[in-house]
Amino acid sequence: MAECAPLDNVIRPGEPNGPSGVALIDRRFIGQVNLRVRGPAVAATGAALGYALPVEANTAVGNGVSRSCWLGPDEWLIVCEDEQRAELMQRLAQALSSHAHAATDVTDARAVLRLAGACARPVLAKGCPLDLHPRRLGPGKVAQSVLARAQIMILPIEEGYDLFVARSFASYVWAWLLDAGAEYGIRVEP
Amino acid sequence: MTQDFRLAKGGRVDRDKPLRFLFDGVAYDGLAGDTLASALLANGIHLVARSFKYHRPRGIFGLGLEEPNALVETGIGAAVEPNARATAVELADGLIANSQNNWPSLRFDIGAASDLLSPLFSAGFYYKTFMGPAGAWKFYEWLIRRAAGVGRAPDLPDPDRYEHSYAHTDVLVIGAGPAGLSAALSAGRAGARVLLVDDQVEPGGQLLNTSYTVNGRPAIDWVAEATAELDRLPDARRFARTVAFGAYDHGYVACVERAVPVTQGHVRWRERIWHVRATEIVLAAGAIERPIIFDGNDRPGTMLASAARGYANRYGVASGRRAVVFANNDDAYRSALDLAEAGVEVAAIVDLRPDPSGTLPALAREKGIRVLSGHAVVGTRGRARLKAVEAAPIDDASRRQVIECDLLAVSGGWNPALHLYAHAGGKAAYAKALAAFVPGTPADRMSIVGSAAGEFTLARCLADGSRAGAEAARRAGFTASQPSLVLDADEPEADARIGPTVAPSRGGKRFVDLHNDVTEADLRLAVREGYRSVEHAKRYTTWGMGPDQGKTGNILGLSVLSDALGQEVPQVGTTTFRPPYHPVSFGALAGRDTGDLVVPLRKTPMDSWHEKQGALFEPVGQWRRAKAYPKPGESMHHAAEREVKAARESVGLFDASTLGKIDIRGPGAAALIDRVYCNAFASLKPGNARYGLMLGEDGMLKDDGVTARLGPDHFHMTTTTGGAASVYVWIEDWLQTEWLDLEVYLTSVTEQWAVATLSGPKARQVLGPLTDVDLAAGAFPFMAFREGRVAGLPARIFRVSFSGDLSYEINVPARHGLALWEALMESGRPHGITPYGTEALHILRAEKGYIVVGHETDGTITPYDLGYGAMVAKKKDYLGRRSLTRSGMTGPDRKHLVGLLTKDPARVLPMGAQIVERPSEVRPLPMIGHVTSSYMSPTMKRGIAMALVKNGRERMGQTVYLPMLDGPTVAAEIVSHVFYDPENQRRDG
Repeated sequence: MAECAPLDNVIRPGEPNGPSGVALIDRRFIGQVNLRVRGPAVAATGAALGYALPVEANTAVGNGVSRSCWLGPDEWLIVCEDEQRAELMQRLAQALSSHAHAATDVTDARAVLRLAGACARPVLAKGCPLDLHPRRLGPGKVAQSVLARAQIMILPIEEGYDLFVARSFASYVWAWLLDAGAEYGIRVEP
Repeated sequence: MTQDFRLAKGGRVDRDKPLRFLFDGVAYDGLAGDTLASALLANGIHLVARSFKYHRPRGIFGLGLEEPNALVETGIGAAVEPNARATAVELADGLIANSQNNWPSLRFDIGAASDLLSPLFSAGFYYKTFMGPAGAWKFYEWLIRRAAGVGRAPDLPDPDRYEHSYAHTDVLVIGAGPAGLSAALSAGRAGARVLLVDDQVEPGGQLLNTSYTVNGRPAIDWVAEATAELDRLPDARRFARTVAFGAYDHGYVACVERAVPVTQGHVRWRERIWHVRATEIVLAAGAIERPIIFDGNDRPGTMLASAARGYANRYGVASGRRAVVFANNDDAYRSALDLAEAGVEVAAIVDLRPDPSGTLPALAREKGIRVLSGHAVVGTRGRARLKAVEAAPIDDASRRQVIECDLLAVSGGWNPALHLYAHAGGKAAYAKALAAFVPGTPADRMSIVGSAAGEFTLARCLADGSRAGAEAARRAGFTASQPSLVLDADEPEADARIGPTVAPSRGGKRFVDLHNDVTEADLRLAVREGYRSVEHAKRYTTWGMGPDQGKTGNILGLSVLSDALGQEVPQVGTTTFRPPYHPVSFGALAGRDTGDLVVPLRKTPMDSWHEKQGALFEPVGQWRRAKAYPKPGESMHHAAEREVKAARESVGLFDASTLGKIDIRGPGAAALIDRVYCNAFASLKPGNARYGLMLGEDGMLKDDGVTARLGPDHFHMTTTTGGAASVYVWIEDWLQTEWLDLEVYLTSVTEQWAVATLSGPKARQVLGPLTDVDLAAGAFPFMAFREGRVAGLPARIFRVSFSGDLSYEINVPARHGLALWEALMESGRPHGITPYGTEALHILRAEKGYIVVGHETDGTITPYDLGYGAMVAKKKDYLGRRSLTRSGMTGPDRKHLVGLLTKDPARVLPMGAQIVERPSEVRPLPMIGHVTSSYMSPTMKRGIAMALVKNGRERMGQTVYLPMLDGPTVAAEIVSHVFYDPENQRRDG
């Protein structure tokens, strides 16, 4: 990750259009299924997904269709494209029909905001107390924390993060990120 | 003005970049790289402040954050910053600075009259003087605050931004002097993440102020090379202009960074708090030179020898033309030699020690500097500026000699800066040879190196720093092999002996704490008056309590106390250093917690519609909810009245999305529900819903709501808006810790579902055309649940009612909330559908006698108190059951929920009004209850109220009284709390 000093992207006198180090993207609808299973149902879920559910704390694994994020010893958030959600729900229902489980569609419960670019990390570090160093929170990891006064789930991407935030908090987090990103020349992208 | 005291060469200032600034309205020139203090000194200005209590003229005393005198105000208007240390203010073009605490001017300050009265203002002056009469303290305080004090805070909103950031590191190094820099470098070479913070603009620490060499070259060259290497390391970061002001538990260190000053426009941010989490901390905070106590030791022109040396070496500024150095140690000779090298005439070195004889004194003598050994400065002359000092042999004050000079450079040895070590729990130990405290007990995760550890030679600073950095990296898990730093510091050997820090007295003023105007006499008086504990003496005299926190005066005071008490310094003890090390502005602490960012504002999926309609909002927890939808010219009360009428007579629409919702699934789901509600749920059939009462373990009502059984092992629980998170966590807690026998899974779906409630006799006509669900009363009765489509959207419909009329709660995925709402409004148009807000909701439910948790309950109310005893299950076990059997949970002392009707129907009782049995002029009256909810009821066309009244159900028909704060007592009759449709015909129809 390229280094980025706090003032790298400040617009200086004579430089009205400084470079932008970070983009904020509203991902609108990302399919999300909250899954709670224990015991043999964990393996059964893996068979349905095409990969084993991650059992190491704060890790995420997936394939081209879905990504499963560890939330707790018996809880995962499975993320997919919005269009794939119905099929995913169906596949889970089939695979888990003989197991106690709760697969709940929570797609509409959270907004997903993508913070992308070289300065994504320092922007996030302004409100999230976690260690965001790629060694601790890089691709393959997932974290549940807070951003300013809102709970968030952080899913690192190649250069940046997908931030999952409860729907009712989304406008607050959006405003907070734009404010925090101002010094890094944050821009909103479609 | 010309910079008459700028040396012809030398210093780290940029002579090609002149900067102009204003001090007390006069324009001066300085150079890029100056501080305000060095620029003022370059212009020959020493007098910059009036002292805190006596308004004595004060000059620049130090070089950095330790400055006790030169507190100035910078900026203008709303951007004024009071109490800035001139020694730490970076000079910028156009900087405006003013002196403070003087009137009418710095040079002629009327407040200085208090200096003549100073015998009156001794220690404990306030305690002794302002004793009465009672109430007069307010006036005294006003007077005292005007007379004494420091700068004034601006009363306008701060125009600047302040930021916060978190930073994590394996090794945090505090201080970028020789020890800190070598520590950071060796930790970085080992592969550790390194963060190096330093309050100065550039790294180097004392190497910036001195003339040492490393490996035969100027030490500052090594600083540049080491810094460049550090900057090349991928995981090393360096914060300049950053003060580590507090060390807390678990490696948490709070720092504040100030922005690079800009000459035009605004800085993007002014200060930034860094919340640093470090696995290991290397404290290399250096040391602060100690003054000496002598008569007249506050005369402007008197400063720390290290400061005078720093101004010469770092800023190319002569702090005077002719200097006297007053010393008790060898390092002062380095200052004297550097001053002489810079071209300042050193008239004499007055050394308290009888026989200064090491290499450094020899060097000084070689240079022709007169050394008065066994002498002391016993007085100073001049008023606003030093003109001469009086020196005499320690044992014979009569043999005084007057030495003309305009600079008195004082050196009483060095005090390690152990503030952060103390924050981290370290207890310092007294090192008699140094006359200073050094690290004693270990502190959490912290190693202390360099002069902060009492190691004052450059060679030791470099070697110890390097070792400490490598060890810290190793403890943090980094063991990469690395070339060790080989550094050779050549310096003349110093004699380690330190002389006394107190000169003989001839009865003049002798300041211990320059900032708070505390004298040696004050401390001795405190001891005489019985304040023998160091902490008591501190608070009685205010020694060490100013914004500088005794950085220069602390150890001096201890030596005075030691003498007055006849105890050694370790027996006297020390006061406790607490954060912050250096004052931190409120703006920095607040950061961006300002305006709309202070508290999240949660919005429902239909919020934009409410806003477009001009709804009045009210906060409910963090949510904003529409309170009413007033039409133009309509008051909130009139709007609510209209909305209630619509919901009673035709149909209303309410946004209930904020209700807490928990999806509960699993083979143990029914058993779980039965355990968390006090009423029976096991018998609930799929497709049906039931109102549930949730008790705390104490038997008191905790939350309520409707829970529907979607399938044999699947429930949809609703909670109050405020209880959504806590109920979820509470049930999860029971499941995870106590009810391991139940296999049940909870999922919070509060945010997944948008909820629109249709309420009123026309509700069926509005919903009917939009849905495929059979709404006939027989097919879809009260307290049933159906799944289907509404306006083409997947929906869950609950036939429940919080108004007492026919009502459907329609849930759709949140993304469809607005579409659902608009479809219902459209479908309801022919029926005069009216959106209603929380005010109307409350009136509707109060008319029907429905409770709201938090209104009719307050954590002391059982279901029996509310008249819900019949609902409480007799056979099953549930949370709170055992508590309900306690004595005191029943009987005539319990308060019951009742209704109140005022004798005057137009009267609306205030909520919270207290209820008494009979009116009386004699107060206090025995109170038997209070009003919990009260409204003007549009339906009943009169004021109605709910109340909790002692033994209320036995008082039906009684008249009770409610004394008012602002008028005559109101009489009311106790009635049933169900005012509207007690037979439930409208609800169930």
